Amino acid sequence: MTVPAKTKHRFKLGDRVRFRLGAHIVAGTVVEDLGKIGAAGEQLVRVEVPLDATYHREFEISTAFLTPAPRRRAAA
Amino acid sequence: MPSLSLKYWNETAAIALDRMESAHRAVGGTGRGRRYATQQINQSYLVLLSSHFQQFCRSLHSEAAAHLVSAIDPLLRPIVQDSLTVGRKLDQGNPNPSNLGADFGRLGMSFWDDVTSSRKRNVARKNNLAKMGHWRNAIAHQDFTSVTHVRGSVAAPRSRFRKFVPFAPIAVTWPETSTPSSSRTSKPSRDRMQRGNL
Repeated sequence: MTVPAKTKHRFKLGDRVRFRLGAHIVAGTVVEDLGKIGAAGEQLVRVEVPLDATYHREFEISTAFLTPAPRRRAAA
Repeated sequence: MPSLSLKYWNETAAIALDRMESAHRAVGGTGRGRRYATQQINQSYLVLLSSHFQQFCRSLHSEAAAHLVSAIDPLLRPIVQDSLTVGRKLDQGNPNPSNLGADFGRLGMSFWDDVTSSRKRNVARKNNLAKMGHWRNAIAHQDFTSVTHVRGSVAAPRSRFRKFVPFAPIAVTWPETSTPSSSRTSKPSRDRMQRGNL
């Protein structure tokens, strides 16, 4: 079992991120910074993930599990 | 290790509430007598108090959930943490006794049994918290019918505001972790309040 490497990256509102959710890697946007209130002072954020075209879910997650994701291209 | 949410409540939230007290004194003075001009400040104060307390409760719940899942398999952590926090009543509703009991109950606590058994006075405090919820709704919806049936007045009882939520300083501590963070300052974001049900 691989423990995620501790990240020093400080995520902020609007950042695009990726994380593993079960068997899948999902991508979403940071919509809230909860502060460093996680275990051992980890930063917790709320990430909005579009699971399909109409259904968005929000996940409260430690930034230790997040990696930056590329920004979406703006529609032409 | 003390709760960082509690630290924020005791410091930042207390300052905001003290400022509201100062505004009340500036408008109404400290002498005897009824001052109708301060009623709007009183009402704003109660709603502000309720929203700050809601923020504290949500933050404390998130902190507790994060500590619970910190000991489990890292691959399962996001899934379990999500299941503990998704659909939380405190994300949508007031911080009333029912919602607090339901949300902290999901973490395996008999919340009100624990709180009321820790201090006798917490029984009365729980009742005061319920009253604050009624007043908050009456003010937010400008419908004083239900509270005036109980209180007989449309003036929120300012002198008792702080008594609504004094049980917060009960011991909220987490077991020490391998990398203590007591020197770290935490600042749960202000946009949590905006996301509340104000």
